Amino acid sequence: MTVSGSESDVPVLSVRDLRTHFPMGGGLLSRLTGKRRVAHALDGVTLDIRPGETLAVIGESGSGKSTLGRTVLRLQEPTSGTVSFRGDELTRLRREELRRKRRHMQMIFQNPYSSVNRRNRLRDIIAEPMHVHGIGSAESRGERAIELLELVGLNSDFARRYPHEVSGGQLQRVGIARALATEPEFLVADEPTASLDVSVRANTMNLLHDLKQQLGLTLMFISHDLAVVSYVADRIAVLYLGRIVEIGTKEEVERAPQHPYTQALLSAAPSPDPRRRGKASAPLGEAPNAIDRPSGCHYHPRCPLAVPVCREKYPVLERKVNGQQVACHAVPSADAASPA
Amino acid sequence: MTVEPAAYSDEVLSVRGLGTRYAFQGASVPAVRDFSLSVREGEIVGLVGESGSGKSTVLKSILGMLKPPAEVTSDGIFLDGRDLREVSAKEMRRIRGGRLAMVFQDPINSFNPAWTIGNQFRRVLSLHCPHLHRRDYDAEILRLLNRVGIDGRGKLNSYPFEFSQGQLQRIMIAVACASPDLRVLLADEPTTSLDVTIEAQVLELLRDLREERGLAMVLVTHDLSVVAEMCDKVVVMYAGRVVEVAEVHDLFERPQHPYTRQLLKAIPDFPHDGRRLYAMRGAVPRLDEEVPGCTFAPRCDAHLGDVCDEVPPVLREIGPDGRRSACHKANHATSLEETDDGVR
Repeated sequence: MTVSGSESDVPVLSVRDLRTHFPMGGGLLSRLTGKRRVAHALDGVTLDIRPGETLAVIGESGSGKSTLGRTVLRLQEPTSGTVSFRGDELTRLRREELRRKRRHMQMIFQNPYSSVNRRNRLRDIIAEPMHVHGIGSAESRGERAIELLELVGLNSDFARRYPHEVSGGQLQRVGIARALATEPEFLVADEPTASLDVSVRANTMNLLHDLKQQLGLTLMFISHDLAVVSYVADRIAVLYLGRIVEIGTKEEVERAPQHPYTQALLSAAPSPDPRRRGKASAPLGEAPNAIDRPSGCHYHPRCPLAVPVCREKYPVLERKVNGQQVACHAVPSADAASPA
Repeated sequence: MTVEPAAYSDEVLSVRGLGTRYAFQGASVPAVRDFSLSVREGEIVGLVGESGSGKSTVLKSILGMLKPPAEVTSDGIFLDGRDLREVSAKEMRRIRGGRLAMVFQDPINSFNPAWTIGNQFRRVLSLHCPHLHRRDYDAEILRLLNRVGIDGRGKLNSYPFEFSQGQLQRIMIAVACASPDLRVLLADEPTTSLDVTIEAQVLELLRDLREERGLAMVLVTHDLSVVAEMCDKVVVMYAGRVVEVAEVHDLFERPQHPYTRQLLKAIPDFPHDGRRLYAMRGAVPRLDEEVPGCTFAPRCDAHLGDVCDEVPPVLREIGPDGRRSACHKANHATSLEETDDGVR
């Protein structure tokens, strides 16, 4: 890794070999036989997010993308590996230190209804993180909540309303306002538009885009929706069974995907054009689960390019000819002479 | 029993003048108004619209799944010419899952979690395949599962949670198609909860079943890509009303209703060049909100003026092949320039 003095090169978030394993089936039998099964939700993820950058994390359900979002904020304890925020290793912090750090890193959740207290007025929902972090007085927090409502495009009339009195799109805006209440520098957005209709989705995406520019936010954007990712991402990481199989700039990954799984994801999406009907191609088989992972490269049972080595050895994530990093035996690596 | 002459000789499902009202905070509010639909053998008709447009309510009303205080009224729901309004509750239970079946959005909540897949399947066979002998049930189940790409050997004693979402969705399709008499499959957002890779497989399966068995389908979805991929004909709904009916290519190439146009415009391009996304303003009105004039007027980019705010537009014929639109603009001189030659 290059060492540079310039502030913009220092990643906001650095993740190194992060692993989150969940023990499964704590039943008596499995304890007696000593065969506790483990779900490898995250299995050695390394990545950096630079200031002002949006890294999109895509993958199917079970790929570990939500676990990654939760683990980098330490809402979920990792099994091993490190997460550093602005150079401070979050994974080592004590509870109180971590709580103070959380002010600078917040989360936008997928389902706005299940992530707010329905008995609170919108104003109090937005002010809650300020209360938790001891920011301002009750009065100033109330004023700030109204400013935040306006920032996300809702007028002050909304302050006194309850969650059930507003639409899903409006409540998602409240979720965003709440995430911004402590003036964080880093946000994890976990499928923030998945529960919204197309017509409203665009509003939320435009809002996130504007706020990112306006406030200089750094974002980890978790999604399964490639069209949405294409609008917000600077870089894209593709996750498969807890590991990054491809990571690169948006242009590299979208225009010339190298990993067969990324290619499958891109070609499986149906197109909104009836003339291109039947062109979407489904990859083979079922997504395997994180408990019974295939040997070698986890993708090999579904992979059209699989060769014998794929069954035996997990491929290294390395820079390939096209520029992005890819974990695949079948894709030729970049010129061996170039520095690693 | 009324037997209506079908509009087309191969019409299998016809819904006329359907209205459904729900009880909401002590008042009766309309969820679907004056809805009509005609589906021919082997045809896939898409029902599109945002949440709150009434599209799922239409399916539940057709199947007779709504119980009071919900009220369902209609001028007729005909399956192969028979009016389902006049069918006894007992017979309706045989029709549901027999000639008319439904696939739901959320597979995990559509199975009884405490029953094995085999038992749930056997119960369906006992109801809908009276000529099949009990000892042949398991062979038939394996055959039906095999058709949806699942090797059921050794899995009939498994419970729903032991399968993945994608597998369960395919099992649900297998259950829905268990009856040899099946004519019409109603599918409510059948791929919405699935990953894109599995979605493609399920859509392909539905298409193949249509081919093999000549099934007619009504496919409810909010996703216009799924419509483009699957449907022959499309019914666009907004706030409980039909606003446009068109053949699929016409709908995508020459959308007539502003709502359809705006929905199409809201689909982000892929790959995206970073241009600002088109966003529709406002939201679908609540069920208890009475909007005078056109319900879409407050969000419409082609608003003509007072007429839109005051007079509800009528769904009228605007072209061949049953093409319809409910918009004042369709009567307006300026719209003629934009319409294709094929549209009168």
